[in-house]
Amino acid sequence: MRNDGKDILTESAELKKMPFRVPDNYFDGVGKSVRSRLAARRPLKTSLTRRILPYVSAAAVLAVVMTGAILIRMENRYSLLKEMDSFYRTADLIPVTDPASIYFSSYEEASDGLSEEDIINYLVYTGVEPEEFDNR
Amino acid sequence: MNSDSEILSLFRSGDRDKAFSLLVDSYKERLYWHIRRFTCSHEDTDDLLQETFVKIWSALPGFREDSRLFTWIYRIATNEALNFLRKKKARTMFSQVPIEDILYRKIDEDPYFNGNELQRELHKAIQKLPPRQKAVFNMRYFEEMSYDDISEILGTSAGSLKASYHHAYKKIREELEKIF
Repeated sequence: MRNDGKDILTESAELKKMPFRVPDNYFDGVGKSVRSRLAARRPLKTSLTRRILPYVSAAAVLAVVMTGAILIRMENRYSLLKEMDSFYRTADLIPVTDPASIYFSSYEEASDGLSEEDIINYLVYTGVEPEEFDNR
Repeated sequence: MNSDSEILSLFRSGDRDKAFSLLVDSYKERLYWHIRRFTCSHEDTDDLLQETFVKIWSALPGFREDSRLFTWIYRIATNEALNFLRKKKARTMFSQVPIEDILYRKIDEDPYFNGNELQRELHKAIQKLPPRQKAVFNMRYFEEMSYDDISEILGTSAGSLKASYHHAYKKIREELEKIF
């Protein structure tokens, strides 16, 4: 620990000099090394294929995503049209003289896959008395 | 005509080869030592110096003389050096050995060191500074640049640079006075 009040950083002019050497003739070769590095990079910069490659890749990915989105959208529209078509075809079958038959038809579809036991369980669950089953 | 205006004049007149040689000859030693004060190794400095010249040469067509060529070149070199330290720090983030210790070891084991112990400890103390304080200290203490030049290079006001330099100077002096 110093007590002489002097500033160690200004005391010696040597301190401002770099205490490192460089390999012999190092500075003579710097220009050549930089030229080589620049030359090695130039083909990368000038090659048209390499320059446009990222854009082509991005465009390809975008095209795949867009095609997928369009196909999904078309599939959804097709399903909707199919559903509407089936409704209208059913509607065509409803006789004008017996419009109530529409209920019969819906009932048939709704009950598709349901057993009689399922229906009874449902009616019990909703509080319908067994006596009223036949009226429902 | 100073070398900066000559470099620009040769470059703009289309004499690229002469402009390149003059650029490298005028700046290779200054930039080498500027970078080496950050990296503490000849190999890293050599790599960064070449990269700096590649960047300078590639960006030169876009140089608009909003600043002087000298400060523009130093800004590129300083950014390269600071980015090098940042990457090095990121790589040692999960390591047991902090970056400062790696840099101390480089100074201790440097086969090109030819100074005395005070110089060695000074360069080790500099490695303890935060990166921007290190940059300010190096440019002011070793290269004796004006605050205006440093301000142009680092894009910081001269006032805050003076404060940074004062803190850096004090820390280093205290570090050295503990040993000598």
